[in-house]
Amino acid sequence: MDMFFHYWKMELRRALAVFAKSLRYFVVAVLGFCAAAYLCSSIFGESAKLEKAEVAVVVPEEKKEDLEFLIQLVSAMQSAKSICRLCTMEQTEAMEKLAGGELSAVLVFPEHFYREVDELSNTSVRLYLSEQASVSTQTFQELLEDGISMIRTTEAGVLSILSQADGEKTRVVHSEVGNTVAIRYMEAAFDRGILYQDMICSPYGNYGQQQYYFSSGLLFVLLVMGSSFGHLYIKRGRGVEEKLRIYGMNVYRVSLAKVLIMANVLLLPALLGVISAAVVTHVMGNSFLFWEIRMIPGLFFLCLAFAVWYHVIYMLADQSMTGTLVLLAVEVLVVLGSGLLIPVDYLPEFMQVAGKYLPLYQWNQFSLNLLFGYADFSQWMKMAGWLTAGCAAGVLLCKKD
Amino acid sequence: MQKGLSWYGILLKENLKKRTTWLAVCTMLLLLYTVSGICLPASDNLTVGICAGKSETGRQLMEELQGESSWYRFIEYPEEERLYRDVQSGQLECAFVFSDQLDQKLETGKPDNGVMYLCSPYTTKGEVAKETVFAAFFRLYSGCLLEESGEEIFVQPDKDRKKEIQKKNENFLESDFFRIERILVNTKEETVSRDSGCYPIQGIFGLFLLGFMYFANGRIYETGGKWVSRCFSGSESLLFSVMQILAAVTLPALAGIALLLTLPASRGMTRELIRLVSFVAVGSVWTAICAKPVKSAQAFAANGFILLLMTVLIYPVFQDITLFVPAAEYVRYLTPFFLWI
Repeated sequence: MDMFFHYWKMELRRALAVFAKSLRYFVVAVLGFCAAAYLCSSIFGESAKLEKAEVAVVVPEEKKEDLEFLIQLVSAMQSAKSICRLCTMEQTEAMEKLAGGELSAVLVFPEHFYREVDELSNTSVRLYLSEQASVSTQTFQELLEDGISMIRTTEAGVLSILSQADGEKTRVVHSEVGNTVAIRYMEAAFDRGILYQDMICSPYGNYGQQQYYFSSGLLFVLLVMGSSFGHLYIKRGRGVEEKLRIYGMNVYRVSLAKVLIMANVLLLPALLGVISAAVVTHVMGNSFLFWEIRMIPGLFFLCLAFAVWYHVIYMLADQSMTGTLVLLAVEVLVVLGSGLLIPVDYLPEFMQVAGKYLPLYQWNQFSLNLLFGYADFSQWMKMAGWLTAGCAAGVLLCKKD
Repeated sequence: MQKGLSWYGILLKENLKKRTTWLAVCTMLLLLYTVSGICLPASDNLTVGICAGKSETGRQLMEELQGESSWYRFIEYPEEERLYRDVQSGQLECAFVFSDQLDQKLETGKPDNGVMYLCSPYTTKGEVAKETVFAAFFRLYSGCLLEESGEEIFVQPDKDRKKEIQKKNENFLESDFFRIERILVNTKEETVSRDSGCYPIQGIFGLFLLGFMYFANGRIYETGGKWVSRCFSGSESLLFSVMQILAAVTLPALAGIALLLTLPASRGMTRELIRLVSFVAVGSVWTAICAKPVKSAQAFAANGFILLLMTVLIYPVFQDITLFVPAAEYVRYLTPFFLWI
C-alpha cells in the first residue's frame, strides 16, 4: 500500500507539472469553447430571426381618433408586436415609402369604414404590398385575415339574431339587440387567451440556454484535458516495469493509480469553474448557480468517470501522433453527437437516437441536474453504471496487456 | 522524383495497415454525414402541427384549418410525442394539441385550456398562428355564443327559432361583407441573399485534412521515429516529410471527397477537385516547413490543436468573422486553407 501511495504521489506531481506547463493551451481551449458556444447560440438566434414588417395605416377623417385608438390597441397585441410595427400616415407619403422599399405594406381604410361596420353593410380594406412579399409581410396578411374573420363571425352572429328579433318579444330594447350580441362576441374575442395552455418545448430541456452551455463548457474542459494525460501512457523500459512489479505495483495497481491521478487533476478545473460561477452569481445577485456541498462528491464522480474512460481510450489507441488525431476526431464526434454544442434535437434523426446513449450526453444531464437542479438516484446509478463498464473494460485491457 | 514516389508508395502501404488511420477516416466520414443532416430553426418556416385529439370539435377545427387558404401549412399529427419532437427540433414553427374534452367545453361555453400551444424558444410566428386557430375556433364557438345570446335576448325559448338562427348564421358566415382587396405594387425591395457564405461541410473536411497533414510530422515522437529523420538532410529531408504527409492524407482525402460529392452541399465536382488538389499539394509542403518539431510531444499536440482552432475561427467554416473583423480576410492567406475555402 505504501508503494501505491508513493507511486501515486510521484505521478500526481508529474501530472500537475505537465498541466501547469500546458495551462496556456488549456485557457485557449476554454476561450475557444466559449467562442464556439456564443457562435452556436447566435447562429440559432440569427437563423430564427424575423425582420418585422413595417406597415403604414391610412385612416379616414371620419372617426379618425377612434380608428387611431383601435390601431394602437392592435399594435399592443402580442401577435401584432411579434411580426410588425404599425404607424399611421398620409396615403401619398405611405405609397412613396412603399415604392422606395421603406415600408412592407400600406393598409388603407375606406372613407366611411366606421359607419359601414356599424351599419353592417359591405365594406373592404385595401392592402398595398410589394410583389416580393417577405415572410413577415405574409404573416401580417395572415393576421389581417384573422382579424377580418373574427369581425365577419361577429357580424354574422349579430345579423342572424337581428333577423329573428323582428316580431318577437325581447328582454332588451330592440335597438340594443345588435349591441348586446356584439358585446358578447367581443368579450369572447378579447378573452381568447384563455383558450390556450402554453408549453415551451426547449431543446435545452428544463434549463435555460446559459445553464446548458455552462454545463457543456465544463464537460468540454474535462474532455480537452484528456489530451494532456498522454505522458502517463508512454511506454517505459522493461527494467522500470520489472522494478515496479517487484515492489508490488502490478499492471492493475498502476492503472488504478493513473485513473485516480487523472480524476484528481480533472477535479481542479471543475471545482474552479463551479466556484467561480457561484461567486459571480453571489456578486451579481442573480440566480444562475448556487453552491452546495453535495456538488463536490458529484463533480468527483463525474471526473472519475472521465478518468476511467480516458484510461480505456489510451490503452486502446497506439502511441502515435495519428492516435492523438483519432482521439481528437472521436472527441469532436462525441461532443457533436452528445449535444454539447448543438442540442441533440437539431441533429439528424439517427444521431438523436444514438446521441442519447452516448456517455457524454448522460454525463451532461447528470451535470445539469447536479449544478442547477436535483440529481436523483437513477442518475447516480447511471453514472455508476458507466464507471463499472469503464472499469470492466480497463481490467480486460490490462489482462490483455 | 523516383525516390520520392517510392517513399510515397512504402509510406502509403504502412499507413493503410494502421488501425488508427482507418478509425480516423471512419470518424471523419461519420462526422461529415452528421453535420450535413443538421437542421436548425428557420425564420421562413410556416409549418404548424396539429394533433386533433378524440373530440369532434377538434376534428372539425383541423379540417377548417387545413381547408381554408392560409399562409400557414397545417399538418396533422396522430401522436403527440412526434409533435413535441418536431417542435423541439425546429421542423415545426409551433403546434396545437386539441383537448379530448373540447366538445364538452364548447357545450358548457367555457373553452378554458381547450388547446395546448407548443412552441420552442426560437418560435417567432407562433402568436399569429394562435390568432389563426382562434379565428377558426371562433366560427365554431359562434353557435354557442348565439345560444347564450338568444337566452339573454328572447323571452320565450323556441327550438325552431334556435335552429333558424344557426342556419342563418352559417349562411352569413359564407358571405363576403368584409373583405381585403390586395394590390401588388412594384417596389425597390432588396433581395437578400440566403447564402450565409459559410461552408461547414467543406470546412470540417478541410480541418481533418489539415490535421492529418500536421500530425503526420509528429512521427518523430514515436518509438523509432527519430532515427528516420536523422537519415536525411536538406532537400531530401523536406522531400521525405512531404511524401510522409501525402501518404498520410491520401486515404482521408479520397474517402472524404467521394462522400462530399454525394452531399447537397457540394460546390460541384470540378471546383471541389481542383480546390482539393491545390490545398493538399500546397498544404503538404506548408505543414512540412511550418510544423517544426518542438521540445515535447505534448507541446506539438497542443500547437496542432491551436492551429485547428484558429482555422475554425478565421475561415468561414461556421461563421464568417470578416463581418466583424474585416482585417481577418488578409490573415486567411497565411495558411493554405484559403485554397480549399
